[in-house]
Amino acid sequence: MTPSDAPFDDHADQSAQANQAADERLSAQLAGLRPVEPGPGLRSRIAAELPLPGADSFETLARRRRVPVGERLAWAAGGAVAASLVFLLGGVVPSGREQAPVAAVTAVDSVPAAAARPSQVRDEALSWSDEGIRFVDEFTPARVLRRKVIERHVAGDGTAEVRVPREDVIFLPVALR
Amino acid sequence: MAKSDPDWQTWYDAHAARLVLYARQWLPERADAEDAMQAGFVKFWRSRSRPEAADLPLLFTAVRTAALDLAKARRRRTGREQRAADTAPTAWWDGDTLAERERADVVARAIAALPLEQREAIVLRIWGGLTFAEVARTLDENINTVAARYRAALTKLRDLLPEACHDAE
Repeated sequence: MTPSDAPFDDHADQSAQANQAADERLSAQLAGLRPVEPGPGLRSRIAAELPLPGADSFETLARRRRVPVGERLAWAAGGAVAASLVFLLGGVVPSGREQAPVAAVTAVDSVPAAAARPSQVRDEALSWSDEGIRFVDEFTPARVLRRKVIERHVAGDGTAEVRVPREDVIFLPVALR
Repeated sequence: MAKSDPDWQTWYDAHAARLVLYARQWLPERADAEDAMQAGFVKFWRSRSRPEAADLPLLFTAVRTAALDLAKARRRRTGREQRAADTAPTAWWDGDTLAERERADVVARAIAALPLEQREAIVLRIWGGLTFAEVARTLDENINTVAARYRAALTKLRDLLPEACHDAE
């Protein structure tokens, strides 16, 4: 820098500093303005789309409970085979209620004790779906879940299995702030 | 999910108002801006189950994308006349007194007169609370470009706003 440049540079520096100070004052003033808060409905609308705090997402639940297709097919085939065996071994194919022979009543008496034991029932969850938050009545919001289940009824002696599809609708209470 | 994980309500409480303000740069109507905020917020939260503070620019980006999409759809629907009407912003900031609300209105009109890229820089920096690096990440721009836009915006605002707005306490 030559001596003749000094006054010009000093002036430029002062001007830049003054601008910077003015910018800082203005930005501080602007920062004092509070953005308008969104309407109360916005939170509820988002709540209807997102999992509740502290709860597993239902996608996660569904993933965790998902049974591979091959395994499901194997279970279905097993059930069908078991049902066929029951009919084949029993040697009786029902042909209608009206024609049921009276002798069948006596056949019940001859069922082995093991088969007469109550069957075990196990639920096998196939899928979960989250239908979001709905109002059960005017003031009661609830998250609605739908669960598809296969009930597996296994006879006491383990010789037969019946698979019954079922759908559950579950209401979970929620609190909307 | 562990109990210590941040939940979306915490993020909502901290950022909802500033996200809606940001969306209003494309969607002056509050209801439209809230729709865009909702779409962006939900998309962000679904894509990141455990967001961290460093992810904040991505949240602004998600809301920006949603606002641009919605603005495009609105433009198709409403046409030029409505767009002209939209250039006058309705309340962007709260004020406890009439004087504060009037001042907020003057500032809103001045900011609405800025070019969009300068407006974005100033809204993200001042009310979004982002650093220049975060603003740059939100906009996918160079940090120097963003800083230059911010300074240009302040310079223009000094011209557009009456002195009373610079010095009001």
